[in-house]
Amino acid sequence: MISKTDVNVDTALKFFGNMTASISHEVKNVLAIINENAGLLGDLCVMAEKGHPIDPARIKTASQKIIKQVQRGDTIIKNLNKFAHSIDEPDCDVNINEILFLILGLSERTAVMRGVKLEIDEKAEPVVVTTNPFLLETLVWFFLDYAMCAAGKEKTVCFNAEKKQDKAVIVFSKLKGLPGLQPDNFPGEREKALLATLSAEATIDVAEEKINIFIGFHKGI
Amino acid sequence: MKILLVDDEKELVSTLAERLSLRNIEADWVTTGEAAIKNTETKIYDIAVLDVKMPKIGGIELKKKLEEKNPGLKYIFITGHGSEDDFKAASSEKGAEYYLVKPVNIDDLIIKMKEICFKKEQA
Repeated sequence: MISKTDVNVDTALKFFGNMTASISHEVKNVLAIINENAGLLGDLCVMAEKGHPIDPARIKTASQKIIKQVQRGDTIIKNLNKFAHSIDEPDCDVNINEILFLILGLSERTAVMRGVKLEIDEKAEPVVVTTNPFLLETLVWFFLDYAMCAAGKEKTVCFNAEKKQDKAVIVFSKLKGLPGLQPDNFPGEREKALLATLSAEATIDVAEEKINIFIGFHKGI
Repeated sequence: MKILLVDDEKELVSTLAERLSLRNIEADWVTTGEAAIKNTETKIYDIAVLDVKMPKIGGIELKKKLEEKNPGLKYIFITGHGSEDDFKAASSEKGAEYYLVKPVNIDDLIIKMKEICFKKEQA
């Protein structure tokens, strides 16, 4: 019999593998753009050495593109670093909206590849729970993955966290394609194991085109 | 030699096209598979340089679509995989002979382009 822990280890590894593969592809794109623009600056220098007049605007554009990509790379690495450090403590106080914002940053490339627009309220009030941050990130990522499948023709997924009485709730909304999917198959075994570990519950509201994840403010409550 | 560059990273393809033109290689660029298909309806290219991972139509699927109407067109894949071997292992594509890993060395790209054109002339 496969235990809950085995499912969680397998699930966490799948999440980690998918995330790092996606990030490494994005970093490769950043490096490729820097490489071409640095190469172009080199080409222009060679032309100048040969006496060809060089338009300063071409140099300015290339250097601006390099700066822009360095900033893009910096954001990617900051998110990756934050993600890596989420395994530092098994349980701590976590602002769910910060986690959602991190997952948004880490999933942006995946969303673009799937043609889905992710929306989040950047000014949302902090919703703090005591939990395992890495497993919460894993849970959010798997639900976001499903939500992207359920985005329908609108191709938009909105997600945020809010306080609701004695629980925190993560809401994935605007899921226009949810009625066409088979909610019976979701949450699957791995999502159920994660929900149980985090003492959380999920509900799928087909009529409202929403998925809700309820989490106690303190683990086990 | 006329080249079509296809990559969803606009700043990558536009700059690569500019660098190729400085080397007297005519290169058009587009950022989607759909635009690539449209371009090949009105222009004839020798080589299409395709990014493997793009939204909607990836490079491997795009090659299959382009092959139907452009029998003479040859392909070079550009991949964000860690190495060419990683890409070969991950890809089921058998018809593509030429792969380059990002960031691409422009001299390596031109060598591959010339190799393809030489083979085309010999055939």
